[in-house]
Amino acid sequence: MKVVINGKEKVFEEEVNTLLNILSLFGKNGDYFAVAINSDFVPRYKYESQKITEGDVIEIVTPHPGG
Amino acid sequence: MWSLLGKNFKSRFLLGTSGYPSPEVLKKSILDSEVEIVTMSLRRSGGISEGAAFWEILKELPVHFLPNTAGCHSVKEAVTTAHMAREVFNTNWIKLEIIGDDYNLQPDPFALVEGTKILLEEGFEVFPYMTDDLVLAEKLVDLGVRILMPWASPIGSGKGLINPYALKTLRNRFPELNLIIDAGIGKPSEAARAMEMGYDGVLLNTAVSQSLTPNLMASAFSEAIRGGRKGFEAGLMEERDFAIPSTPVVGTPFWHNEKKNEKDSNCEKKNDLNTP
Repeated sequence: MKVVINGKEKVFEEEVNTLLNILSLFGKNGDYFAVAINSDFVPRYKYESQKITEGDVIEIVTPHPGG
Repeated sequence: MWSLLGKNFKSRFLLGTSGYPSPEVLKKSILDSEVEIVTMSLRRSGGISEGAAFWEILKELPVHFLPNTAGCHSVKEAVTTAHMAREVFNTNWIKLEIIGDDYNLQPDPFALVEGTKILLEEGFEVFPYMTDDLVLAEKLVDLGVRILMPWASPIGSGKGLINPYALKTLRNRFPELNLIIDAGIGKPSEAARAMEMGYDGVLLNTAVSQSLTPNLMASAFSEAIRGGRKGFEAGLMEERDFAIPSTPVVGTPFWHNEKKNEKDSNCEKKNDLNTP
């Protein structure tokens, strides 16, 4: 499956049905990041049920300095 | 002590966290200046630990978080960023920043009104980063914002208060609202001037982070903001176009002596002329 994560195209050979699958592959857990798919926010409690489909554009953001 | 959205704060200085030479300098700047509200952003991260490390530093500090939507150019982007910020930072405070022009980073007033409406309806406390336009301010207040954050001048420009008239107008028009100057301040004296106008606080970043000694500059701003506020509370004198001596005139030594001497001198001259 091909998706775009943080502006970069990623191809997954393995089965990635849900957002949680993808986050697990990247070792992302904890409460210091947030996710949007196709410009819509996905709250943490939906990671497990959020289906991923071909071509989805996923943004994963973390706290950074800002003014 | 002042109250912002039901919370009490000692400091009226809000500080940005970007552009410091190191996390340690950022931390020292926050602690030395005793700021209690800091701004931060959400960004894509190469490695998740990068964002986590920054977050761990901030979480240790005795500060309240004001996440921003910096870099957003549309209502959709800003609203989604606000949603993500609420989850990560566990706050409903959001500094709503929707850029309308990339040259001077001027906020888009139309998108700002639209985004503010959506976020207020969703329970956010919106800190709208805005120009100093009075009509825009009225629209935002009509929507229900409790804070206005007009710029002093473009972000990072250090130009100071480019339109004091407009800023004074906003202050006079909305005496009950929390008004915080956001962006463009370059020197502590400019922050003091804003506070002397009756502004409730000042938010800045670049003037501190890009100074030679950020923690010292942060302290300088802290003192200037405190001084400016005290000046406002004390009640500034009215400006005049003429001089009034501050030292009492009554009892001035040699009072009229000079005139008397002049008169005596003139009499002597007259006598000299009359002398054949």
